[in-house]
Amino acid sequence: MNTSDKVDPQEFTRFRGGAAPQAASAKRATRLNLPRALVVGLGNGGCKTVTAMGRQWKDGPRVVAINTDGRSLAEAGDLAGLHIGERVIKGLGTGGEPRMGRRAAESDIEAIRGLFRDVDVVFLVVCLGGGTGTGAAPLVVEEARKAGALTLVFASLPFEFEGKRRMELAQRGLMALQSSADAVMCLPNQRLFELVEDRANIAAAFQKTDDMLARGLQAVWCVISRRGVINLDFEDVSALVQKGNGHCVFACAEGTGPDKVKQVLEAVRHHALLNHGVVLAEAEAFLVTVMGGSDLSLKEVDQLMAGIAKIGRAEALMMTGVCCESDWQDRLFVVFLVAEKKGADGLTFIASQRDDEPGGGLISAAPGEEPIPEPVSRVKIKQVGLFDKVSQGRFKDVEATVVDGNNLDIPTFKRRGIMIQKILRNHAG
Amino acid sequence: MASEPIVAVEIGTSKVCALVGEAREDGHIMVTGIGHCSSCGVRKGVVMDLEKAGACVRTAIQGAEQSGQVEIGKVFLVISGEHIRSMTSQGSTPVMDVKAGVTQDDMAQVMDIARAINLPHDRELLHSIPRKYMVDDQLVVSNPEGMRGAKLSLDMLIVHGARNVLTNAVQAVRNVGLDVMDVAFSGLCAAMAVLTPEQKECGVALLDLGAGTTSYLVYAGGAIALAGVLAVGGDHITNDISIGFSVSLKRAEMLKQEAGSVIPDSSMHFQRLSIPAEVGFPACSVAASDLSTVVQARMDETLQLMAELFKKQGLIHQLGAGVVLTGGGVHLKGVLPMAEQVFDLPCVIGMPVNYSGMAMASDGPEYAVPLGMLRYAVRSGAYHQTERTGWGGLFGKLWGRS
Repeated sequence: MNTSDKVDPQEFTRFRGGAAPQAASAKRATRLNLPRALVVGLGNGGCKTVTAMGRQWKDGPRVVAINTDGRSLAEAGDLAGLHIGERVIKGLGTGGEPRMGRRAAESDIEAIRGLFRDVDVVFLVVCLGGGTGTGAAPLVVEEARKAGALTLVFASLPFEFEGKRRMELAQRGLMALQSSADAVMCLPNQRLFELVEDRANIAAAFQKTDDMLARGLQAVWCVISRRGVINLDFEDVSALVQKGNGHCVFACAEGTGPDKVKQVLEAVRHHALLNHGVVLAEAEAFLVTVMGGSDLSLKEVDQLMAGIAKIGRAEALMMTGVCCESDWQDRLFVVFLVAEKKGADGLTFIASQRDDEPGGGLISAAPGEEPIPEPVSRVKIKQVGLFDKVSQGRFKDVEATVVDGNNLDIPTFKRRGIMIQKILRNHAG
Repeated sequence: MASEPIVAVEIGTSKVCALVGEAREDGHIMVTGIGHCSSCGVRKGVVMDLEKAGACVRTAIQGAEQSGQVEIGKVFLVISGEHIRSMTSQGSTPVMDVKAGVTQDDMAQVMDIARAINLPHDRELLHSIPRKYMVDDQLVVSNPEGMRGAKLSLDMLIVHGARNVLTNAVQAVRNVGLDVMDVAFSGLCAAMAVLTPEQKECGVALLDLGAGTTSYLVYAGGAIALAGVLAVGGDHITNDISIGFSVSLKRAEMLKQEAGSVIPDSSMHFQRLSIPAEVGFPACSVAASDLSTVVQARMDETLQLMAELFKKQGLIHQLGAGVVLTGGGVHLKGVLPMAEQVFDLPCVIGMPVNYSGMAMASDGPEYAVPLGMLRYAVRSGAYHQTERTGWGGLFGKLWGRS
């Protein structure tokens, strides 16, 4: 692999448009005192999403599209684009091989690294299941983190009709991202089915994915960047993601007119992304950002929050932010970020499989080829079920402490079904 | 009034501790010697291995002899473990001379009656503590001497424990060649060390967060209302960490002591705690937030269980002075705010009151129990009549009978 070629990141030779994006962003950031953010769309899906987003979101953060496919970058219009892996792939696609995606990113690592200079927060938008997005995303995230930026990934999982293989690739990619990124928001496309009309064509369905990812990203950006009446910041988002062990979904609801609160609550109860409110009802934690016009009243917020609290579990951690847009009138926009209950549909872990497969996994390379390096710290997510064999450790030979039928010698976190991460250094390299 | 040195021994789950103290004026106790040794053969406050526990006692006693410059032959032993329970017992007796009112003899009589309960044959009476006297079923007083009435009743709290467990603990000490003068329940000892008369008057719950057990003692309405032990302690936290992160107990203990916190601190997100490599174990790291999640879950549960118990007993609203925490568990970061949240009451860390000498011992909440034992020993000697133990003649009861 040819990585010795020096690519001067300052030149941005492969960039079109956005002549001095960093300067502009820095200026904007100092003016508004915002975190300096960068939105990165990776792979075909990611590029499409950020393109759509860039169009409808004029005063948002700086946007960069990264892809191995030059044509998709050309479609990105006036967005800054970074073409990676030209030498490796020669302008063709990755053929849905994450390995190729990773190689492409490796070959242009200097250029990728250059993107993250003077950036505080990186939003990575990626549609998992393909080659570029799935393969390159962990590497991009790692570079961003090395540059000291917080990384928040918006990842969509493929539709079921896209096939089992893509889903498996996506799941693996998701795992890799969860171990390297600060936070991963996940959008299982399958849930979008209900949002799309039966007669809508396939392009419209994917369009919907793009829209949703864009809205979710916008929502999180709002949470972080706006100084609300009740403020939330990135820490709240990370706290939420921690709570869900990386399983996070998002949803937006809007209401206008006098009964806007009712509209929003109704929308939440029937929201497809929230699995008809089930996700919210079972959530461990969720974050609600309420955006309203200058006419937003305390009573309305109170009604709304009371309604939302009723849907969620009583013991769920609820974080609330409220901000007002001076130019809005009689409009309410509510964004939900929900730490999903583990084991929910479309998000099943395949962690155990991965370790058991001796190089036969889809992501690992064929013999003779170099395997895709794992992220630096290898994360094993331990999921503890109710029926797991319980261990009592040092108390195994003494009389158990049983209160109300609970054996208190079994770790509390196990009995409460709390998932923790067991982290071991990967010595094999 | 420099008294004879008193020696208190606690065979705890994590450490065996021996303290030498002298009684001074006004109940002040001066600690003159200290010896301790990390514990073996003890689980959940119960001696499991007489030989190992005995060896630990010997080491601790030697330490105390050296630092206190005394020769130790007699000790007072602290008893803990889940087997300890409390119950209330009532007794009443006609007042002998109605004209003269209630006399000391009447009080002694009613105390004997209240104490004369039939415990199962495998249980042994540890303490019988007068809670309140009633004269003619109405007047509730703490000291009825001289009161007029026809009938004197007494409400008593009986603290009892499993005979074999008590015998084992005593035997472990006797095997080392020491005489056990008396035994006392760890919760009562801790209360004697850290609670002030004002707190007792207002109503207070004392939790001793030990390594193997959590002992509790509740004062309500000016008297002890409840006492007992939950066999969950700091060891459980260590064990949880060990199981959760697949690390050895030793490393789990280290993690707990270095970084144990019950607050999922937002600044700790993504922070990893690394454990250096040692023989037989590779270096590894755990997420700080996960560590606190594990610790928090256990501590929360323990405190919730306590809170539920107090609620069930109708005591939670009688705790005007809130909850006092002692024991090694108070060193966990954030345990105090957590307790305040769980109990919804003011909580403080109980510091030994009216002790001096041996800075380490007289300051730390983890020494509350043996310090309290010293006070218990002083009181049971000086006020043998009012603060009787039932074990006043431990050997008379336990050994004399056999």
